[in-house]
Amino acid sequence: MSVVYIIHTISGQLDIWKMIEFNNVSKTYDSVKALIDITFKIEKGEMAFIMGPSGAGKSTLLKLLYLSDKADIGSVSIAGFNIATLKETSYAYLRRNIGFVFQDFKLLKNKSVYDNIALTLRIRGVMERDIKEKVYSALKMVNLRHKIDSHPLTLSGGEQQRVTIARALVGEPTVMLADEPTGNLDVGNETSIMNIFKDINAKGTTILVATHNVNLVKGTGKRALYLDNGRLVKQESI
Amino acid sequence: MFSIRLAIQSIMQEKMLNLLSVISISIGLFILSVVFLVVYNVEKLTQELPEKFAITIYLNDEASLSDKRNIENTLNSDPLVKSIDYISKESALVELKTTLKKANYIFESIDDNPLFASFIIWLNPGKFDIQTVKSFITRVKLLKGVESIESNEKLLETISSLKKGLRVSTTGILLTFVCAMIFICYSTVKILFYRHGEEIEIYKLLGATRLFIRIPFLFEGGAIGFAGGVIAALNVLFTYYFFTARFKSIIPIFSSLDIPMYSVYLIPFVGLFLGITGAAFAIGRLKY
Ligand SMILES: Nc1ncnc2c1ncn2[C@@H]1O[C@H](COP(=O)(O)OP(=O)(O)O)[C@@H](O)[C@H]1O
Ligand SMILES: [Mg+2]
Repeated sequence: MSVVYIIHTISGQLDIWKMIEFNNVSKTYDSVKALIDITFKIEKGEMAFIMGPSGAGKSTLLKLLYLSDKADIGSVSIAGFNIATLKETSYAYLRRNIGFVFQDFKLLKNKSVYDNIALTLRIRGVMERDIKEKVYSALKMVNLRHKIDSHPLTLSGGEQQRVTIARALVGEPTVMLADEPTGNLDVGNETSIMNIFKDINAKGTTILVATHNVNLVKGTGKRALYLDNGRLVKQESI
Repeated sequence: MFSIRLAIQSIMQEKMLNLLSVISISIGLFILSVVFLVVYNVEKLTQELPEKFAITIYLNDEASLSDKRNIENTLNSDPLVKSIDYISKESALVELKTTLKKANYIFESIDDNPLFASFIIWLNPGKFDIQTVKSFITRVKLLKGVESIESNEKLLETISSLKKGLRVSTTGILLTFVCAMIFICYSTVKILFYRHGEEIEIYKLLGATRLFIRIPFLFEGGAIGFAGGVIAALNVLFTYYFFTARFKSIIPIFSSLDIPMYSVYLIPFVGLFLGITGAAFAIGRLKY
């Protein structure tokens, strides 16, 4: 398993494959058609947005990428893995290539900022003595070095979101997925979070952000894919 | 190891649930241990019974010397027999006379010796099996020169069937309690697993393997079982010393009660095993 994993990862790094690829993907929940015949590609190193009103299917699209759900029709691949051919026991290893940022943060409330971030590395079996330094540099990236011993609930929404970004970052993911990352934040925090994403992207990490907030995308010069009622209706750079 | 730390943290967080499980397990293991010790002592006491159990073979007056030799040889070669004593007609009479010293007049009217010569057979310990003893008696009865046989066959039979009943019922109790305790650990771990659902979801997203997520729950099940076992073992020791100290002088059987120490040390490990088994069932049945 791990040899295949390494080969996949390395070839992913070598840019042989697209980072994210959807081919004629459909997904239906009961009677709701959440995604209908979606086809698109995201290049390695690209930063792109999934746009659309609430209920358009943005979260569903991301769920297919982080293996929380399976497509009914079509193929999805990420970081060089074709998800349909992946065994369930390999999911954990694929997820280690992906960084997650959610609207509701998903931090462990009973653990310190340090432990929340270190968790990513502990899960990978990294030695404790190597963890410290990596956590420090991830926190530096999001400007939260001084909050290392705080608990999540004592932090503001913007700070909590920066912790989750650091938690994703510390695992050195090849791709980051963000679902409404600024959904719970005010405009000031919105901007700072988006700036952090841009910095991370500038260092080579592919980033896909789902949001209904047009202001996030405006003036970035990045590509936006518009979903409406489960269909990909428009792609443009704005 | 990180998994162990996770398990410890989880135990601390769910104090009430874990405490209840530990107490239930300790009660269960305590009862199991008491049942085991009762059976153990009954077995041990009855093991010693054959030494106190004698069979007397009366020889008729027509038995010749060679008949006696033959009987003696047959008895000596039987694995059931530890030793035999021969009591002649004469020594039997002497013995009777000393026993009835005060009523010597009984013998005044008797010229002939009315008593039989006899063999008293002492049985080997550890061969205490009613079936073998029975067939032994029938075999000896057929020997030439044997008048009759006296044995406490009825007593033997009663004890034997009592033991059989005890074995069956204790096996039942044991199985029931073992299943119950495994079920307690199973349920506890399952509840813990669901209570940690949100956390586990995050672990999954961060790339934790199934094993990484599950192992803390195995530790936790084991820890609950082990803790219950330690408490049960302490209880057993306490109860034992309490009873022997208090009642030794009043009820003599308590002084011959025996408690094998290795079995007390074993109780926590039985708990550990039950806990891990329950936890393994619980996590085996979970979807992720
Ligand atoms: N687990 C689910 N079960 C049933 N319906 C769902 C589920 N997830 C999403 N949906 C439906 O799929 C559609 C798309 O949802 P979602 O992807 O969350 O949209 P968005 O993130 O763009 O707001 C919605 O109509 C939603 O109700
Ligand atoms: Mg959504």
